[in-house]
Amino acid sequence: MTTRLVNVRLDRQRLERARRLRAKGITLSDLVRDAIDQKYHLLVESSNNRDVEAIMNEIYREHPDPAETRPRDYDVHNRGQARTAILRKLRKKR
Amino acid sequence: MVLIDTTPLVALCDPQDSLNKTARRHLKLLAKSQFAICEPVLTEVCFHLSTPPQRIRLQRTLEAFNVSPVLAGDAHSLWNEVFEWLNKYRDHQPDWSDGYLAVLCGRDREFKVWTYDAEFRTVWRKPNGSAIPLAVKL
Repeated sequence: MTTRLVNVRLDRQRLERARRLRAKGITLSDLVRDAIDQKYHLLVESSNNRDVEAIMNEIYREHPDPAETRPRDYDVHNRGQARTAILRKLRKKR
Repeated sequence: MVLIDTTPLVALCDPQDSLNKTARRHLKLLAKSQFAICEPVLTEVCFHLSTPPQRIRLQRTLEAFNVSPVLAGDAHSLWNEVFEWLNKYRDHQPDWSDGYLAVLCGRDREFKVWTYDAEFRTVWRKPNGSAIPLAVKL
């Protein structure tokens, strides 16, 4: 397994804590690895529990388009049209 | 890690978009994945989502699905690779974000692109010539 060195900056208080932990025989690199694993598993767990429909519906409901919003006059999924629209917008800004 | 391209993100954040339902279905399929986005794609998305509510929806969506920024440590060499890639495919008029995504996939084998651009399937390849892994099939 290849590993890479990661430097972490600590303020004075954390540095003192780190010294005390090390004095008690706790290896700081193991501590960092454990913290990364824990945080990562939490992140993955929260990702797995995401209810896509509910989340997106809530976002649409809370931030609707005003009634006067005109639909896009080009198709984003058409490369040519999308590019032309961007160029048009850039020209307007000049 | 799923790299989000412009088209699915615009479709997701705009309920009026022709591919909104498709994007939501794909998001359900990919819900267990980790998502990432690069600056060029985010810039393009903001061109297409130009109203305040659209941009708030974009922000909320990125937050809700823990979409991480792709941070290139060696930006200069990445730019050079993207320029080389753009030159290689110049006959097909690729955009900066196309090259950026292709080069990122070439650098990290864990990356898959979530895109609705057919070129990623039919034309674009990684810098080494291999196929770009796609997160979904349209």
